[in-house]
Amino acid sequence: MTNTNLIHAMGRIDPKLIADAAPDVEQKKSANKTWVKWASLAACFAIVFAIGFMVIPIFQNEPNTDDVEDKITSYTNIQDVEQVIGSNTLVSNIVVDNFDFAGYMLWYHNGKNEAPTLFECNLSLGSVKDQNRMKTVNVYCSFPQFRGEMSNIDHFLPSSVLPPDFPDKGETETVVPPTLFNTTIDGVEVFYYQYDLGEHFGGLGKFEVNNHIYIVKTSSADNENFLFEIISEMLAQD
Amino acid sequence: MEDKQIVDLYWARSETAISETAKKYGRYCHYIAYQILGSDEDAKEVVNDTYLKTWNTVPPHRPDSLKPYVGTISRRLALDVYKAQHAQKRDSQVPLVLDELSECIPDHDSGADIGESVALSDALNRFIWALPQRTRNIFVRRYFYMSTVAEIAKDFSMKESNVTMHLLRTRKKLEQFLKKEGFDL
Repeated sequence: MTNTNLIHAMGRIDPKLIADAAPDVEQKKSANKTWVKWASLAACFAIVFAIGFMVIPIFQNEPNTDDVEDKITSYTNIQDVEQVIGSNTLVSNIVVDNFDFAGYMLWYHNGKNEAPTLFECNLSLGSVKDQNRMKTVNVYCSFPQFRGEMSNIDHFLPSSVLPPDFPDKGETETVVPPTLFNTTIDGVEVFYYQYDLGEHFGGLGKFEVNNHIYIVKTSSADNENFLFEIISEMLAQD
Repeated sequence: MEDKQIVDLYWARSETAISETAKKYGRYCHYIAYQILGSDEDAKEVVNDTYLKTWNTVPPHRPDSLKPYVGTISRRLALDVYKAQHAQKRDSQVPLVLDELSECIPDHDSGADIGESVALSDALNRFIWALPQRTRNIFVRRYFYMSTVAEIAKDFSMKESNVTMHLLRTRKKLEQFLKKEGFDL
């Protein structure tokens, strides 16, 4: 036996040993990107909070006090969501069993030429673009209290919820008019997508409606799998 | 993207699989190849060959974890290139690693066959798994990844002399272990 053989034999050791001892080369090379990620995440938080503050006054007088707790579905991981609505798309797999108004989606997208097809869906209430076409913010709400409320896309004022680091906030356009839709899912979903990084970033939002506190969390996903994690929880304020 | 999804892309013969592999493990493969070849250009070639090899072997393989899979391919390809180039003059870790291993494994060719090769791999696995986790990772870093002692010392917050001593003791243990296992040393 030669030590050369030993070197080759080391190449056939258990893959788990290899994985466990792997050098952290990615992290070393992506320090700057990590910073950008956190900055983007922070921007996402700002968006969610901003939207929350915009939504609160709209629904303050909402008389509908459905037993939300019974209807809200909580998802803790992406597989659970996929089981309910299928993979790779939020929209096509949602069951529409009647046409009662279920909620709203605000869709901000700004992705070069290839991006819109990724996001087009008939649940969009609207989408807006900026000149740089690099980022997406997508807010989707279907809490029962919200149903029947948002009749005007302007309530969301897309240009006012752009991340603060957007280089240009001037150009906005509503692509899809407000649309009625139904979904079997009660929840809120917030997307933040930045094309130059090729990744999705989630966020965490908290806002109050009708004496309830909603905590909205979203996960990150990658570019090829435009998916998300919807987690909605409702905590009684009392 | 998760490894399973990337593997599914390979099975679907989607070329996106390669770009996703490059995005996720390109630097990792480059690191492995570079440690062996000491040349950025050669390492890049090996990384590209790694993608091709992965494309040609998945399917039929369906690795649970893509990282060690592509890492192993990169390492093997880089060693092949190294052998072809006789690249001792380059800034490679291979001569150093060979020299270290010669301390515990005398360098004579006994005409190892496939059976012995498999037995050796099996023995190595058992030996490495039996090591304490930290020792195990240091050993794999040095003799699979061929990381420099300085780099290992930095990553494990140790002095270089401690890493060297750690490796020396482990090699001694390996020598005893292989003798006990009946290998011809």
